Amino acid sequence: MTGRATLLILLIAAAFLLGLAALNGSIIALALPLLVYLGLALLQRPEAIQLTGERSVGADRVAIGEPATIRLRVTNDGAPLSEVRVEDVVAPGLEVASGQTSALAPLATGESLTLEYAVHGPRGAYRFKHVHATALDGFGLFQRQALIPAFASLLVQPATQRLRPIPLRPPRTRGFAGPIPSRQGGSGVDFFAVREYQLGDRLRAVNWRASARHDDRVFSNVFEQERIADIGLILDAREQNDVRTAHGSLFEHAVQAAASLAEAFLDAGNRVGLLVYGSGIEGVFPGYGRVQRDRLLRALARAMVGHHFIFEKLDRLPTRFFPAQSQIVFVGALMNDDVPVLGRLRALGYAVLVISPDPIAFELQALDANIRTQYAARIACAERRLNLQALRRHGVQVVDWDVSLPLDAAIHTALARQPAQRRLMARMP
Amino acid sequence: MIWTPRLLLAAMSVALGALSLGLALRDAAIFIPIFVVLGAAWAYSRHRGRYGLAAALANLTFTAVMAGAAIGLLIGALSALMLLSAVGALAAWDLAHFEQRMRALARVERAGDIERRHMRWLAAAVLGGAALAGLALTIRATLSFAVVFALGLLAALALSWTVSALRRE
Repeated sequence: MTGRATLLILLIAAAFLLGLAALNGSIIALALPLLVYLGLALLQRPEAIQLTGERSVGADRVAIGEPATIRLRVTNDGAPLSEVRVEDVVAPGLEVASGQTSALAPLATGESLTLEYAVHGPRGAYRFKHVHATALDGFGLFQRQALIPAFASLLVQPATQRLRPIPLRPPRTRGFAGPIPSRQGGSGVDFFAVREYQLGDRLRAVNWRASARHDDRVFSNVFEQERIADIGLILDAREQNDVRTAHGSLFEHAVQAAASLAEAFLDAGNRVGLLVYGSGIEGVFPGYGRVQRDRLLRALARAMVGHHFIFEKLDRLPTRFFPAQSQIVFVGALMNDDVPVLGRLRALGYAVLVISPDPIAFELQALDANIRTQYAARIACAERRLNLQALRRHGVQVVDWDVSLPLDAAIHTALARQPAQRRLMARMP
Repeated sequence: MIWTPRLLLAAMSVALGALSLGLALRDAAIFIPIFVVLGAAWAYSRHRGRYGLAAALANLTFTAVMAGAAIGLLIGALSALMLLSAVGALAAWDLAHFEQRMRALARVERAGDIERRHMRWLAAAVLGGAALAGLALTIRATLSFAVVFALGLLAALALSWTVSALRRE
């Protein structure tokens, strides 16, 4: 029953009671058209709603900003309905880009109504659950409402950048051929060592220069084998490490970096796992290929910053999640307490690469450029530089990433082998 | 929607016109400005495309016209005019909400069919109600206090039963 029906009943009752009180039949007669109207509305009252919903999503995963088409078909399996209002409940966070999410229609038995619209939204995993249906009588006095289940899910994946191969050297590699130097002699591209000629060595592998120095011995060049490796990505999703400004969230850049790295490592054939460390620990066990890529992107799409007292510091990191002596790539803004933990990972035998989106440069973009801000930024930068230097001393590779620059350029600038002259100068006191 | 706006305007004009005329004939023109202001506010909100506000004003106007008709009958205004205003107000109230319902959603399937069906039912309600009320106006009966009391009690009980039954549903 709607508010209009209540108003009508009240007016009928008021006219009837006033007529009786005033002993005036004409006033009671005034209520008769209203009574007939109410009676006819009762006659048309909708039966129980028996609608079924069927939803399809054009693509179950889309990139940020890319629209996804939702198609919803509602069919009436019950008695004819003179007016049905169908309103789709769009998952919170999504915006309707085009089309209609609601419609009014008469639905005969077996008849269908189709809604089609496009949505877009920020990174995340979205679930569509129900359709809201309201059947009305012809006068709109009585209504029946129902939630029609029509489930579907949509994944808005983080944007990724295409990265050039990243030079990594984990202590241990896996048995299959891949792009990572394995510190073992064999067939490969890069020179590894010279050893005495063995039966079966190819003629072109013979090192004639070394052999010429000895009368009765021949030497062969050995090349470094290239294998795939186990790579563990750790995404720092702790709330205290995130910086939010008018330009967005630093965490979003970290997620994009993690997604780009995951794609690059998987494309090279490596076995990649993921650990999201924030309000809890969400992990994707290491794996290969396209299925693993989907798992990783799904986990990254769902990743949210959060806070938990247990995970305030990095020391709860489950190191056994990653195979021993594998490569660990940590993505996140660094805190002072993180340095010893990452150093400990290095001591445990992992090769550690830290990709740290620069929170100071990011925050500085949104602040007024006054003298106090500049001093504060200088102090914070000095502290951060000390932390990064401490990490480097532990043997951790560090990429200090100003998020206004492309990640690929930042990685290759930071990890590029320095010229011999500069290396020499760096060693000088 | 072709007929709804026209019929809505006509129904509202009939309701306000008949009521004003009836009251004016009984030297009660003091009430007329209230209805004129309400009608003007309703027409203005419709003109501005604020159909939600127009529907809310239609509720108010409908209640006011019914109250005005009852007052008119109490002061001895012409019954036919008061009945005409009540029937017109009922039709205008219904059409205002129908229009708001149809315009609330950007997509209405087979709007012509819905409108025709609505008009048929509304015509049945208005004509049936007016005929029944006209017939009732011709009946003259004298009731004792006991009968009046019993009828009042019955009306109150029927009302509470109807409301609770509908709410249970």
